[in-house]
Amino acid sequence: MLRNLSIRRRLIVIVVGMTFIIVMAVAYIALSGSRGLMRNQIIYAILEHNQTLANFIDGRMQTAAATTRSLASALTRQNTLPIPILWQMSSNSMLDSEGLIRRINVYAPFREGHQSLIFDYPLLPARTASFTQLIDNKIEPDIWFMQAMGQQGLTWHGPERSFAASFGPPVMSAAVPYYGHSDQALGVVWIDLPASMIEQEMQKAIGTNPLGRRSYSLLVTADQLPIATYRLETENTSEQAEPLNKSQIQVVLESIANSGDFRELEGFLSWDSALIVRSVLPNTGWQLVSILPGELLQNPIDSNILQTAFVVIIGMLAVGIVVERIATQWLAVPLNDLTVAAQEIGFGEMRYQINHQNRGDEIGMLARALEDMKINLNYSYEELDRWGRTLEARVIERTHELELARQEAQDNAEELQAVYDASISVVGDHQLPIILQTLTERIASLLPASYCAVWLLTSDKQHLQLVASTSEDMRLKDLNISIDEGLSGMTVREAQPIILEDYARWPDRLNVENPDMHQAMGVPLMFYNKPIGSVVAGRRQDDPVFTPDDQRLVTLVANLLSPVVRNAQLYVRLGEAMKEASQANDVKTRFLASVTHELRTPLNLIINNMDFMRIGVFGEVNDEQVMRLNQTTRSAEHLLYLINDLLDVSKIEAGEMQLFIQPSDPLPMLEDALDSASANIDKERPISLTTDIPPRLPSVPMDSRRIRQVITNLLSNAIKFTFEGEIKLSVRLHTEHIEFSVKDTGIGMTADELGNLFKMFERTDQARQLGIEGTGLGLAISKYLVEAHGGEMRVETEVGKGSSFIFTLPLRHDPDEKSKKRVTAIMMPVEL
Amino acid sequence: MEEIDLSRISALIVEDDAGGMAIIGVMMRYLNIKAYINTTGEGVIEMARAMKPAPNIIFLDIALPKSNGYDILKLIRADANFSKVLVIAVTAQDADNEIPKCKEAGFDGFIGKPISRVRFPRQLRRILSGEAVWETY
Repeated sequence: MLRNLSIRRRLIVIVVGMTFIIVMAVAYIALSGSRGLMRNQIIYAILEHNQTLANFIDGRMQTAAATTRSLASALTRQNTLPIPILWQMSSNSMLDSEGLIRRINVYAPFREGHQSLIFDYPLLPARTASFTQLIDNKIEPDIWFMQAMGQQGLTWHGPERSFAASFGPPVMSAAVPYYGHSDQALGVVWIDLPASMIEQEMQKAIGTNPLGRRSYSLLVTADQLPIATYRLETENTSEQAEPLNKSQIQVVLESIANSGDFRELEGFLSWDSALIVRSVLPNTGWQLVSILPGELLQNPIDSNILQTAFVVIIGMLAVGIVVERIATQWLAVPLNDLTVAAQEIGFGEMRYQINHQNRGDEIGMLARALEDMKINLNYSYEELDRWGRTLEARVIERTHELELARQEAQDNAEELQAVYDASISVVGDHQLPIILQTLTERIASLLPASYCAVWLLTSDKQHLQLVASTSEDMRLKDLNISIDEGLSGMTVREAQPIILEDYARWPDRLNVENPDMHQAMGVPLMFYNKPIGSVVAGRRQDDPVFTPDDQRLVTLVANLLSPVVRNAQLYVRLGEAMKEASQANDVKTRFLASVTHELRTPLNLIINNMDFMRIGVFGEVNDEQVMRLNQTTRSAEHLLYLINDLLDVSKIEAGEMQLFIQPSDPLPMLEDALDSASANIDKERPISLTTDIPPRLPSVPMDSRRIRQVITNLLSNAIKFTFEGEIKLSVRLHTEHIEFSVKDTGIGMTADELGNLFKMFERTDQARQLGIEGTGLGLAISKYLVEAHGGEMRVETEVGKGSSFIFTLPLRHDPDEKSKKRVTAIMMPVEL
Repeated sequence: MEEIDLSRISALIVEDDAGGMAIIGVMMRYLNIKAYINTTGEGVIEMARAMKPAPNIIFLDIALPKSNGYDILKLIRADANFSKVLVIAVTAQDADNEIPKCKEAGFDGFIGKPISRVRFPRQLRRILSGEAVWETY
């Protein structure tokens, strides 16, 4: 049971427990022969006891107040919304280690008398509960937390209904204002302590029952508004004890309102008289009022026990508090420091100084172990960082390898296609049976023969299948036999023409065959000296016998037939191979599409946080920090572009790049592209971004998201390769098309570089040497997108002078086959 | 384009990712827009009804823990009070797949994540002036 408590609470439990044991012992001694005490001494002891309880409760409230102060100081001078800070602090279990707090609230007015922000942040029962952020303007101007903003330091409020859960039970709220850079109050943070929680604290304080009497305790504010009550029961009592009702509370409070801290009340509850004592909680100013039975003053033995017990309790509590303080100083504080250190290190704060390392005890060992861990972790982080840097290079390298492998597979397929094209005729899978059927009938009439059939070897090379026959016997349809059977099997086995003059009595003849067949001839179908099937012909009893001339005729036809059959079979296999390749591409695209979602989500946070930080939304940043943030933002954006480009390439290759072409006004799209381009220009470089765009443009049939992508890509390239001068975006209108151009005064390109410019994964030597980031995909994709619109892209450049990228889009959309074919040809980066 | 006073906008944001939530919160404060954030996708209609003034625009994430943007859009459109309110999909899903679905479902626009601090104000003004905005980073 003790295992789940903090060290501090364990100490409190131990101290209270020991106090109880000693009190029992002393009481036993006192019972056996002590004298009565003076009435005043008893009253004094009761008051002392009550004050001790009040101090304990007050101490617990101070713990909660300290949490509020630390929240306020965390929010002070941050100049940002409290959400991210609260979000981070809520994951810190130290925030509410005492389990006192139910909610954290923040009131943050945007402008005085205007919008306000209230975070209602439930800590209990579930820390994982989502929080709701309200930005609203319906806050009453006289509500207490607006007034709390104008006060210095911590103020207590309540008992109120919890603000956020307006139907919730009464709470006491500890509120502290927080400040901006100019020490002007920005808002108020407060925590809610439910009355039920405070009652539990009272129970912990009063806990044991040294009096042996039933008693009541009542906690009220300085204005004597009741906060919580507690009823202490006697053990083994048969009395029915009701909690104090409202009117009884009223009587108690009135009785003590204008008198001192002690009062005797006649005929209260079921008692002849009641003793009312009051103590003030030193920090909160609340009052602890206890109601005890009056008989305590009449019974000397009890009084004696009482007095002795109180003295011992006070003594023990004093000793206990000292012990608790020392132990806290020696154990809890260093452990707390180390926990904070472990968290900081966990967050990656490697420069965090770990204290207590020079202590000789277990705390020192823990601190030194933590220091070792920090060093190891730091080393691991650096290692990870090194890996991260090589990873990107590897991804590109690997993708390039995949591209080469795909190209090789494609070359093979094309070779098969070429063989096929070179053969005597184009025969598809479905055409082959028709051709074979025609041929068998032609052979039968040429010879002539009463029967003719073609058998083909199956893929396992152990069976023959009847694929064409002049017989109308349905049993023969698709007949499948072993190559050990029949004349067709023997012909294939021996790979020689065979004539059987007495076929009627040949023992191996197939029993399904026409009994009229009296003589038969088999000729193998040969392809590159290997049998792939056979042609079988038969004659009736009175027909002339098969001659060598008949055999030559059938052999001739068989030789013509073989490549056709073979090609048809290859064609089927080619089709299957093409289908598999296309499926592999589809899977890759679907995989990339889902991965990019997972990558864009964190990039949204990274890019935007750095952007807002850079422009000072989260507080002032110096020039060095702005420069670093710029660098980091560019890297994050580069990563995003890489992801987008890889997905685009994958879609193009899988033939899944769809354009949503519809008439659109180019102006908003151009403004949008210029917005992001101007934000990307390095402020250190003397570059001006200018435009030459007619004030009005006709609507153009295009996928404006994709054309924006093209223009953004061209502008971004221009910005990367231009160190001074001008970047100009121009639009010209012609009769048949619209022309966009991005002209820069950058480093330009050589003729060699120009040759590979639009190829995938190709980057210019200058780009590499200057360390300019890029995927080598942007221009290839841009060119594809323009051409898929039926437009054209070209480049004009001179080394050292600059480059112009010009592209056109037709003003009338013509989704004809010609442009599509051309695009496909361009996208296959095959160098034959 | 005439300038629209963004501080008069009342927005409802449905976003479950903690980071995305923090960023859109900063963005809304940066633009001085009154906004409520719904963090689960549950009780969106109830939240919209409770908002004073009623929301002019709703930013809806597509992938949500217990529901999705399309189902929530159906609920919004089925409510006579909100059948005309602008509903914009804000998501990190692949735009080529998602935009046709969003158009089919009846969204008024699409802004792909990451949202851009530089572009977002103009995108928002264009949406509010009735223009179709289907854009990505």
